[in-house]
Amino acid sequence: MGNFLGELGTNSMKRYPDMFNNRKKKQQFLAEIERHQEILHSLCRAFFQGEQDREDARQEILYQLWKSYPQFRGEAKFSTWMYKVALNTLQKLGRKKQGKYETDFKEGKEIWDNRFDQPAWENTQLIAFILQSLSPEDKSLVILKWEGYSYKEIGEILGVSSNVIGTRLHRIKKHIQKHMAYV
Amino acid sequence: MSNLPLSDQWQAFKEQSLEEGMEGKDLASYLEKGIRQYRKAYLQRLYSQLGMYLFMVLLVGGC
Repeated sequence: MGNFLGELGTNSMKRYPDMFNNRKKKQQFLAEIERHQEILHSLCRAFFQGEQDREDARQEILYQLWKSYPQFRGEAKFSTWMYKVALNTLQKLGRKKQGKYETDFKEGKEIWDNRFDQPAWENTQLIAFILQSLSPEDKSLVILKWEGYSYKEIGEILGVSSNVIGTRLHRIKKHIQKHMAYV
Repeated sequence: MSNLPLSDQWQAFKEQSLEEGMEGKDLASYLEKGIRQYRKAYLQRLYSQLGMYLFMVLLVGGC
């Protein structure tokens, strides 16, 4: 019975930290997020094609960031911490929608093939297609690489050994080159 | 197709995403919606645990 009461009290509060809403803290949090909001929008767009999925992802990421905000002590840059929480959330959401991701990839490939004769693609269309063809884990890895993070930092952000980062990035590079060969 | 390096193309993608994102809902409303959903889930869990607790109290009291 003691454990049961413990579960009802302390642990439940840990799972729900927003019971006592702190307005000032929330405003401070939102101001910080607003300064880095391109991270939030670009990651949601990189992971999901549909607007509804992107909205759900924005909502979930913001909640997860708010939940872990008390643990942010400024040891890393705010943007690095934001990437960490957002990418972990997106990978979980991406795995849940794995079936959907495969369908999206198929649709993306069809769109790509139909536009094959087009002389020029806008930069963002090409990068969107490349991202669409990658798994949630590979997508996270390559985005952090494009953001200029070192292997060690990528390993820390994604919680994987930095030794495997190089190998995985090499594999992703080959995959991208294969797709670029169509252009 | 552009010959820009992919990291530069990613920066262009980010800028475009920001423009698109700014047209949508504001950040505070996303956060509030998320908090409301988790609050609802928390209260449902809490009520179910309380119900279980009351049931056990009644069961032990009845014996």
